[in-house]
Amino acid sequence: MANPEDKSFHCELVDPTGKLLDCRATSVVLPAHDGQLGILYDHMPMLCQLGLGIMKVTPADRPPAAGATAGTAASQEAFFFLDGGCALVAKNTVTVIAYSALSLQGTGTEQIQALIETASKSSADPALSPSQRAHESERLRTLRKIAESHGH
Amino acid sequence: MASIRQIFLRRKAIDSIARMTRTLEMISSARYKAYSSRWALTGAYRDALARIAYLLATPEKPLDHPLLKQNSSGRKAILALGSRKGLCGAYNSEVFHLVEVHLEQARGRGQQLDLYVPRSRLESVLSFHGVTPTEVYTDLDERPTDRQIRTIADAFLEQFLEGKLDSLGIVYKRFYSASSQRAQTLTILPLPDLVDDLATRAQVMWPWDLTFEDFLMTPPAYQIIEGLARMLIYYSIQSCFMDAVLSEHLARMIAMRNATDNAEDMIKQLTTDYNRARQSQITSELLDIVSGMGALE
Repeated sequence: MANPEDKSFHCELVDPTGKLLDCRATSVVLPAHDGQLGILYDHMPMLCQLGLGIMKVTPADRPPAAGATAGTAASQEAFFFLDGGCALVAKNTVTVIAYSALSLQGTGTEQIQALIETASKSSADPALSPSQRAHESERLRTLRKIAESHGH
Repeated sequence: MASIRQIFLRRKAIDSIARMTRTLEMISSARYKAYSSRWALTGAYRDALARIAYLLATPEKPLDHPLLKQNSSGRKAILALGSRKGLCGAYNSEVFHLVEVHLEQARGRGQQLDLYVPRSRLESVLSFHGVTPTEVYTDLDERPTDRQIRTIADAFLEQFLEGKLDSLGIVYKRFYSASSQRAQTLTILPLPDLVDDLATRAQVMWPWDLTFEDFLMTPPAYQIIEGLARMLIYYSIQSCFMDAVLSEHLARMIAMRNATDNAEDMIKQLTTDYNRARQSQITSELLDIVSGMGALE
């Protein structure tokens, strides 16, 4: 029987390479096309276009790590770098369909630097259309922010 | 009857052909395995997109967007995906037969049909039949990058939104399973056909009793439809390229396996012929010696 105190919902993240996340979550913050969007239990049905940015998931069912204390909840959050897509919210299920997504757990500084280099090379490509160039520049800015936060 | 030396040389030649076909089979087999594991992983993405497609297909009031309307410019575009290399059986001729059907249909209806092809063996099949493609994409990889796909799709979308294009179809060999691949046309534009195709292919049914009107759209429906449409179109074109490359490697694998088996059968037969010819030569030489000895006595 469902626990009435359970305020968690199902969250999944897919991109063309497969399913990156499938868990129960208590909150999800998405990079919507017009800013950050928070989703909690019992959110109304919604279809939202996503932009570039970080998705933050607070899982509900992850067992606490050995030796973890009450103050380590933030360390259990999962972060993903999303590059466009859409999110479908219906009946306590959040399905995030991303053009491309990268899990920031276990991603080293070198990998992010490699992504920055690729993005800076592609943003300098003369064959790009103005909208593609703007997108690549935005991607580069976001990756640099991620690299800075990783450095700290 | 061929001489021993002729049989020996022929066997040697067929042996090197068998070695080559076996190697090609191994290469295609390795590529097929690598691509098929990637193909299997896209199932979750396809099912998630199918939910979006289902949502777009079920509004109470028909959606109003240029991508969902029928144009009447009298121009059709077909993107035909052939094999990048040869030695893959009837792959290209199957794709060409379908292209031919579209050419006949367009001719019958008085429409203009523009044919677009990536650099492939299909080009030579087309030129053999006197068909000239409108454009050949020379810089595409075996599996095009996201940006290459977007560039191709955006060009067609722009033409469609300007009313210069009635429909866009992709002729390719669809990969259903390892035992079933068929040449077919997937209509990308106008969008309703693509939405129907995705919604019917999905393995996961729409699990909620919610319709399009129950959803809050952000940005508003008119804007979000274009974003969703682009997502469906990019995915569909990418998946067509994936299916085509998977089918190509599988077709080459099967063709090369058959060629190796045939070559091995031929080697067996030639070995028998060689031994028989050698034995008959030995027998005739012995007979010569024996009869010579008999004549001396």
